[in-house]
Amino acid sequence: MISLAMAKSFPLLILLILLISAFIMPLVKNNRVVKGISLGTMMMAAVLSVITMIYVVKNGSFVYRIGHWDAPWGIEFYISPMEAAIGVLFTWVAGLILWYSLYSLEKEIPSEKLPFYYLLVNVLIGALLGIVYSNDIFNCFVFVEISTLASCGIVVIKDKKENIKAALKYLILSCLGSGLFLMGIAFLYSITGNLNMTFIYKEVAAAQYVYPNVILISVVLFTIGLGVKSAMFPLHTWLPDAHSSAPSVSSALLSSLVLKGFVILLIKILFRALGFTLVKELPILDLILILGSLGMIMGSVFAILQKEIKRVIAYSSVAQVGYIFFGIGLASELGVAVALYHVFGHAVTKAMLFLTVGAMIETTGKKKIEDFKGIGKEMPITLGLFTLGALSMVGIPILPGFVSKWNLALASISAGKPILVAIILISSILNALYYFPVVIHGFFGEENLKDRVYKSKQKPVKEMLPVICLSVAVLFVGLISEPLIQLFSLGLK
Amino acid sequence: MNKIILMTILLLPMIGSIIGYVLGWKSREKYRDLFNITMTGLVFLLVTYLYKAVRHGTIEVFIPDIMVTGLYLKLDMFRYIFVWITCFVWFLTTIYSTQYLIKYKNRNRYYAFFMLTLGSTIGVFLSENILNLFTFFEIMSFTSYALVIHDEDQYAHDAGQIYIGMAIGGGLILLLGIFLLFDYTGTLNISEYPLKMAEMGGLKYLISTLLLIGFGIKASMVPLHVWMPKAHPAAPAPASAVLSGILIKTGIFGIMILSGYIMKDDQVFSMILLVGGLTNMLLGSFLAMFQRNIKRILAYSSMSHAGYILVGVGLMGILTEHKAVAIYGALYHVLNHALFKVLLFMGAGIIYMILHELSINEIKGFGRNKTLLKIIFLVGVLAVAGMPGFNGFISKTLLHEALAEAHHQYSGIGFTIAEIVFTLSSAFSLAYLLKIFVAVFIEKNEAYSGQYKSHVRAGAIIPALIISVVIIWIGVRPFTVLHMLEGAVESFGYHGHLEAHFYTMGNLKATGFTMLLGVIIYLGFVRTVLRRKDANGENLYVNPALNWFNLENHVYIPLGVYLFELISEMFHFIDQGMIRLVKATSGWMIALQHIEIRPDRFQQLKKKLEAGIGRKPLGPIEDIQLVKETAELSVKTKSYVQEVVHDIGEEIYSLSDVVQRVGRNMNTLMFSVLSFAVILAIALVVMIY
Repeated sequence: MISLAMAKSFPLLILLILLISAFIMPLVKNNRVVKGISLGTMMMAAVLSVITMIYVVKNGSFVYRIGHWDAPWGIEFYISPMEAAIGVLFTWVAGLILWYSLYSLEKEIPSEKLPFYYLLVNVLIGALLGIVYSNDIFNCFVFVEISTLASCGIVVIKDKKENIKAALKYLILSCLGSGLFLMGIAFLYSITGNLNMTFIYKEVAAAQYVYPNVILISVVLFTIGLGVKSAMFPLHTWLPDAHSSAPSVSSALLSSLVLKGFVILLIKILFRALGFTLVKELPILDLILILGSLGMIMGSVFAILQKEIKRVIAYSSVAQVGYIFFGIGLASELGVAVALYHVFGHAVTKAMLFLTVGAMIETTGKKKIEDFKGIGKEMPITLGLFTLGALSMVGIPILPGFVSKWNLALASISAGKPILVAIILISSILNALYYFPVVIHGFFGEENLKDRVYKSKQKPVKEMLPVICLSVAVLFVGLISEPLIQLFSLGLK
Repeated sequence: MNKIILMTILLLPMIGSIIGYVLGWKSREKYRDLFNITMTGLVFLLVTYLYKAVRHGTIEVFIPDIMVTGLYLKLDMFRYIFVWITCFVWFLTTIYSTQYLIKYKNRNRYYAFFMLTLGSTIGVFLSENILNLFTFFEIMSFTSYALVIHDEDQYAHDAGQIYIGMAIGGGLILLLGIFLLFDYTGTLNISEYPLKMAEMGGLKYLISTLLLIGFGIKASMVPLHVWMPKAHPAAPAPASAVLSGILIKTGIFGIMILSGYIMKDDQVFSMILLVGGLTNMLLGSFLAMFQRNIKRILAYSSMSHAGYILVGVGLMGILTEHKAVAIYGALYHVLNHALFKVLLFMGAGIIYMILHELSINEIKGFGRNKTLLKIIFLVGVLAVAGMPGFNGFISKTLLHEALAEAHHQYSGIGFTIAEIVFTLSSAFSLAYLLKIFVAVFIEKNEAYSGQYKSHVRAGAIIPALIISVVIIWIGVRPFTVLHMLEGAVESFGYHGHLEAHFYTMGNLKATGFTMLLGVIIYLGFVRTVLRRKDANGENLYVNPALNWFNLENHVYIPLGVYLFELISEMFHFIDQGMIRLVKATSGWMIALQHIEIRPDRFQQLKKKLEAGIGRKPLGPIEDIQLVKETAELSVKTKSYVQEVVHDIGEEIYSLSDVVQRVGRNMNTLMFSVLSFAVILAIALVVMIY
């Protein structure tokens, strides 16, 4: 089993491939080659991550020492099933989005910036995977910074006024968040003397009685710092601008992957570095629960008030991230496992939604929701895929959105907070209120469909194939919900 | 081996239906007809072969996972009688059909559904699991619907409509009963019910009522018989023969199971059955006398004979200790009725085949020269009327004895009336049969003088002949059948022989009296009251009952219409309520958004000023200079006031404006950073204190 034993080094290999290949791209003059490199490296990463996943599922979690230095001094990668699965998700979704971008990106950004864009994407995904894999908090911080800058880059790449405005806002808030995160690390380091999560976990058990307030402060700093980056409700203000003004490929990446990277980091710090038993005692989870619930409702309310379709979907991300925080805040294993499952479900669904909406905006040149009345006749496949995503968001059985809502409801009942089920229900209804009108006005209504020519604006199926793959992934994630949730609850231990 | 045969009996007709359809489809009708006859013959032979095995013990087949609950078939002696008579009659009717249908359209469809109906009917009789029974029952209703509407003319569709409507309604009621039954007993197996139902209180009457309605529709119990006089004349003769001879028996079978197993001879329930049976008997035979269509007469006669069987079933429960005679009577009559009613329908069918006419006013005198047909019809008539030497006599005697036994046990005016009703309806039977027989076979008519003799084909007449032979044979030698019934009686918990003497002086005397009464009624009522001379001086039968109270038109249809309208009104109300609620809510939301936020004084000031602008200067002023100045002034003031109004308008804004402003503010960088700081501060403060 040479190949499987080698799988231990694959996480590092993925990072190296992505980061090194990134910097080759600006040197290449031909855009086709750049696209090839980008997609090829992402596919390699995807394949390697799958092999890692298989290895982890078979042999259990492992620790990979970089440069064979032992832990407190060297940097470690800790790969449990959770990390491996998230790695698979990130590489595959990014791969599909890149595939889609091959046909559409040139219509949104100037072609001379294309190599730069693909550089940023590779760096971004590499950094996100670094955040997921790394067991060293400071190492994570470095990756957080890299990913923040890279994601600002893919927003600003369009070079328009609104992009620059949005990116600046994003940059400033992200930097504030990074600052808090760094301060949190400093506090934690000062009482535990370690940066490695495994070691912090050992030390913090003793330190919690000596410095209870320091732990509290550091937890708050982590939560708020990472909360800004992952658009926790009242701190989400950068998100709608950034996501709606960016090219739709960027929006898909940002909304489905970048937000999730920080959520995973927060989960890792809370439940791996500090430990489940300790965090359960802290009031921080209640705070997360309240903010998550608020986000679930207010995100949808804001989405209803929007007029541009991309802003609607961006606000929907705020609501969906609210679900993830809601799951974390329930302070039960099932809750966190479902939160991780929702990371999965939301990643595939939101990527699909942004890409379909991107296709609609690209072919019609319009942005407002009311301009998309009757679009279902002109672009039946695209709106059909959008409908699938919308159904998942609203929570129709089998689809991932339903699975996570159902399990969150179960988890909140078993956590002794049945009142929260009402919040899930209200949020679902609100979701329906802004997704269904798009679908209904798109497909039905006599005056909407008048003068529309069937399939007149449909993109070629070849170009929509990645989105179709995503829709299959949505169904697949919905179908394998049980094993995934089990895997995540295993990975947390 | 027996189990395989049992399954074969059930499956063969269904498979045969498909193969026959394909055969006929390829326009090889001869092969299809032959194939169908072979199939039914084979099934009949297999059933006959099983007789020995069934006598020794019941055959049970259980196949799990079919229809979720599993397919549980059982063949004991009680079920065997029903299955055997079904297969026997079906075999003969199939032979008959090949002749009858020669000039019909859609023969292929007819045969396919005919065979499917056979399969499902056998399924009904074999089922031990009540849910299986229900399923076969429903399949049978639907497949036989295709037989009823076979002509596809207006009348057939009307009849089919009421047939299928009542079948579906009855099916649903039956299913409701089965649900309740399963809910309270936890089992679907019929043989487990006697034990489980014993502890149940008043609820079992509800359940049994529901089941009785469900089965009673098929058994044409009053007042659920409405479909029957319409559906039977509509269907082709072989189909009405099996509808009347066999399909009614599925309802009877269900009621027997209900009474004997599920209700375990409950006294109250049996009393209801007895009264229902007597009503059926009397009403059916009474109304039959008025009809002019032969098939409708026969249909009413079927209804009356279903009443005889129900009386037997009811007496089974009433005569607790001595119920044997009632069971024998009921089961014997099941057999007999199947035989003679099929025979009569076949006879009527032969007439219709030639003349395409069924009204006795039109066809009178038709059979005068057709000796064979006349003999066959006569056998049927005498059997129905209960003439000694024919099978009807045996079962009627048994039933009468059971009634007399009950009268003996519980002396009371009720049973005296019951006996009178019994005699009277037997007399009516003879009267309406004489009406047909005399009109068709004895009266003279110039139009028919034997010219159609060649049309009466062997294929149609031979099955009828076979049945007549059987009728006479079991009428003369009743003990062969009684011997067969013995096993069936054991299924109802009675053991031992029946000591019965049929050809005694007393019985013959009673029969003679009934016959005499029948003849008197025929002569005194049917021939005089129901027959009028028309303009040409011909004697024609009239039907005054046509304008009488009609259950279908005067009760069921208005009731259905009202019910439908009531329900639709109800739902309309709910619907409207919902829509109003949603509209009102959204109206409130919009109103809330447009609430103007500013104190009243601005509002009042604005109104006052606006009113001021519109006002014209007061009165005519003579001085021109003054007029000019005033005009200038007023223009100035007006514009000034307008400005003020505009300013005030700016001050007044609605809730949605506020929300929009807040939204815009929230999107600014300043606000973002502020909210970030506030949240951080709050979180830290909350966490630490």
